[in-house]
Amino acid sequence: VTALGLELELDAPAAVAAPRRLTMTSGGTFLVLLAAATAIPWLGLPLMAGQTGVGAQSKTALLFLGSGFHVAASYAVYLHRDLRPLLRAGRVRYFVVPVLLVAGGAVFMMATSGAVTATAVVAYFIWQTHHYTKQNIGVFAFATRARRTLGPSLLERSAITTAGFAGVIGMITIITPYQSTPFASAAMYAHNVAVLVFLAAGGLLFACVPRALLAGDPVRFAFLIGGVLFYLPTFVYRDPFPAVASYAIAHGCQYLVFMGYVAGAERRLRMLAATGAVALVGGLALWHTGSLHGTVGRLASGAALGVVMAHFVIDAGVWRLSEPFQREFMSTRFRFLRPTP
Amino acid sequence: VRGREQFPAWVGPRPRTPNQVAAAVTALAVIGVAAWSARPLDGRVVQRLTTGADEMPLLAPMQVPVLYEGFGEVESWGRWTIDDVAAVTFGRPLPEQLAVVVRAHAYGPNVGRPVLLCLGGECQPVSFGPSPTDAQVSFGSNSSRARRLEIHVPEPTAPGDHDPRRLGLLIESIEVRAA
Repeated sequence: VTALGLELELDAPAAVAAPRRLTMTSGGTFLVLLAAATAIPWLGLPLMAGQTGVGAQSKTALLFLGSGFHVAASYAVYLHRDLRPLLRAGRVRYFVVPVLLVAGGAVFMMATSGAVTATAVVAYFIWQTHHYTKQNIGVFAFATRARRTLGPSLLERSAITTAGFAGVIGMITIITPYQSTPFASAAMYAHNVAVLVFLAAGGLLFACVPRALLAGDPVRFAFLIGGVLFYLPTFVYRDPFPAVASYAIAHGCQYLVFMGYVAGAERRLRMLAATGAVALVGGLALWHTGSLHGTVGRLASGAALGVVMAHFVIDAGVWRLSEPFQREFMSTRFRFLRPTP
Repeated sequence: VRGREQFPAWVGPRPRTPNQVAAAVTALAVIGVAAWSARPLDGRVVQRLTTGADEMPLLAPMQVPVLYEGFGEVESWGRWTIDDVAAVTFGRPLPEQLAVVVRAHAYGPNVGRPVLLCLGGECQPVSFGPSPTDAQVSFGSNSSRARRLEIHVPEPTAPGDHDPRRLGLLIESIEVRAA
């Protein structure tokens, strides 16, 4: 399976066992938290659009948690003593590339304008949205392990990935400056293509029903449906806020659940507090870049994009559970990843 | 239990990764949209330029895409033209004989002055008042099936230092109707 963008081959249990009840040991709490982290922004943000007072404050809090706070939280991996061998072994991925991305992003935004900047921004959003899809596959994989049921099949992963392609393509005409790129005359059809791809993803989901019946676990199937319908707001709303922010913030909140488990396992309150501090300070810094203008603003926004792109790169390494080191590390944090005795 | 075996033989070469499946599906969708976009428009198409006008696009999956050039951001009451020439490029060829209805109002010195609507080399004059009005023109010889409708604004004017945009028309909607 692919977990958080990470390749992990997991064979399904030899025999299909009845799913366990939701308990701490089966990862039940984890799944409940994941479901809440997904559903609250996914359903709530469209309702909060244009609200004032408490609604607006809740919206701002969700936006902060799901955007800068979650990106900054990923940098807490540098604080984990247990991860230092991995960081040392992957100096290029964990040190060189992040520095290059941050510095390069700042310089790029300073040095370019017009169609070049617009094209780069479109590419950035494509990468970002694809990053969400990889996590969606990871979420489903973790759910199947937590439920001790059938692992994800190629068909099921294909359904989530195809929906992800639809999300990526559909997002282009909603939030990117595609009209300022040299590809505008082709990109204008993106929504039409995305609708067809999303419908095909629905067809693949339907084809997954026999396996869902074989697994006999509604919770497992619910997580599969959630993974496929993740980008549905893109096809329901044209206003960028509910159409894209709803699932983007859901992605960020899901990630915080993952990082909370990584930091807080085995009552490591000190690490949990350190992760929270990194996320808060880094998140506020990223949030602040949006209010800067002029040369400083361009420099800061480029660096901020670099920080987010480095987050994609760091994640793809730390969560690569096909690697023995990462698998062993994560199994100490997520006990349900361990093989059944 | 490997999912790879779940794809029936008629699918063709067995996909090995989810990305291959998604890429194949996307390629098919691109081919379908390309074929659809080559067919000339028939009937009636209304493009609204106001905020929220395109809500619930899932209900109209094959709505004609449109590319705007020389326009400002979408506002709740429409989009301003902000250049000498504003252009609307439709995602499908326009009919050979068609009527175009533009609902707009003009800004400042553009009120009451001739605005040229051009399609495939043929231009027709219209004019707009200070409040929203409908202007209709007919094109009878779009044999090249042009897609690009140009709006030539007589005198784009910036309201002042507080708004440097060169405003001409505030357009609410553009309707294309096969004659």
